[in-house]
Amino acid sequence: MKFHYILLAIFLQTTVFATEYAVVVYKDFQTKQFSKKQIKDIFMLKRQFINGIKILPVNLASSALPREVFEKKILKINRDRLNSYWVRKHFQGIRPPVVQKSSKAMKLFVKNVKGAIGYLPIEAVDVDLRVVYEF
Amino acid sequence: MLIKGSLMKALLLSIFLISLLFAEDYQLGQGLKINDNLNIGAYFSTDYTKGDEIDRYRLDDVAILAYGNLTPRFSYLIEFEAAPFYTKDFENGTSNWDRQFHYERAYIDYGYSEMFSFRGGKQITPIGYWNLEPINVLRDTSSNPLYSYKMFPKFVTGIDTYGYINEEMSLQYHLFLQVTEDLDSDYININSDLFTGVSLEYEATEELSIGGSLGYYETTEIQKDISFIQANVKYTQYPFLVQTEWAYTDIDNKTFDTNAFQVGGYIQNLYHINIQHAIIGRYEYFKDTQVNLENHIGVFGYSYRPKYAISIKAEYQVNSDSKFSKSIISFSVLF
Repeated sequence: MKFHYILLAIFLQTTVFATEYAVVVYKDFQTKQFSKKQIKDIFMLKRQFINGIKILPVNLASSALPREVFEKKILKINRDRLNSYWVRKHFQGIRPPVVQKSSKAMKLFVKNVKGAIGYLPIEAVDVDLRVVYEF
Repeated sequence: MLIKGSLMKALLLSIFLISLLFAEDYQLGQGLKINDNLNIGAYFSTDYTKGDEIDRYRLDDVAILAYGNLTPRFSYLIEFEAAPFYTKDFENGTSNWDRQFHYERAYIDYGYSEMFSFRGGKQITPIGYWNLEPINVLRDTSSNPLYSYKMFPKFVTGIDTYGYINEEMSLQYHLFLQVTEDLDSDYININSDLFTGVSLEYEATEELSIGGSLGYYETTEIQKDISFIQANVKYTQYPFLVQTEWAYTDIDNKTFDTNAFQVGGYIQNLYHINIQHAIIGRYEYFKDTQVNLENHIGVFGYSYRPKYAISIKAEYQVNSDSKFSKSIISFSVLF
């Protein structure tokens, strides 16, 4: 009986912490895996270059589930504080990342625009994309 | 340099009308995006001040800014401002309009790499925290500490080289140089025709940052050579935000052949009651041996932001020279 509980616990843990999403760039982007801090810096528009290439982060619409998960796990900042961050950035002449309406649109954008970086459900990743982080 | 009133008004009106026609989804405080090359924003602030020697209402700042990308590596920002736009002095029974717009900022950025980027034109002097977010709506109090406008020019008209020194991007530097007069010499706190400095900012953790600056400038009205050293620390752990900045200036007055110094700074603590409401306490010190002035100032403030881009603030200042003690309320919005 104990053994069953242990198996159940392992199953639940792997389910809870399973990788659901991938941060992706176009396949010819010669780069190593990114750290969580690098990705946060990119999406907060603090870091603008990787290997000399200008980076273009792409968000999904604010109501999209992948974006909520991304903000919670990677940016680690709630929506109110994020909005206040972008208000302050606006005064400095900086706007938030561009938005694509769906994962499909984001996938197309990242595939076709040099320097673009976005996030997708892991099952949506194909050979034309390079995964640089999973969460 | 002034922008003629009627021309400016027509320009502003045109920009806003065009903006409304072509803007994407608009969020208050984040500007109107026309396209990648043009984003437009604006802000204003209004305040009422009451003390023993002051009873004044002002429509203080009225400003418009435009910015965007020219190429993937080049971008620009331009900002015009009129301040104080309207003043009603109840003490003297006078009122005054000043509708002339000035260049607040006008620069081009070139991003080469994380380590080297360049900004040329009139720009905010990259020193400390207060100077980088100087407008009422972004501040936590209506008033500015004396430190923020008495000790170094708030703007540089020249070149700033900046970037991150380390791969983790936790240590940022600025190296700036001005060798001409200000782009708009009627519209700056300290007029200078030579201004240079270096500043460093180290993000020790996500909560703690530490910085400092060294600089030198020469004033134009009365010829003074001034060297300064500055330091700043900020600690953020929601709901608290504590920040402090201090500076020392060494003043060599060439016109009167005298030497003097200034020392000044502040420590401010903000406590968020919730995301909209906050209370603020600040202690300021400022000493200037040129005019035999020494001030201790305590500020007690309250801030309400129904949205982050809308700021309603009230504060009471206790000054060691009691005739300067006063109350201020303000309302400001960033569009």
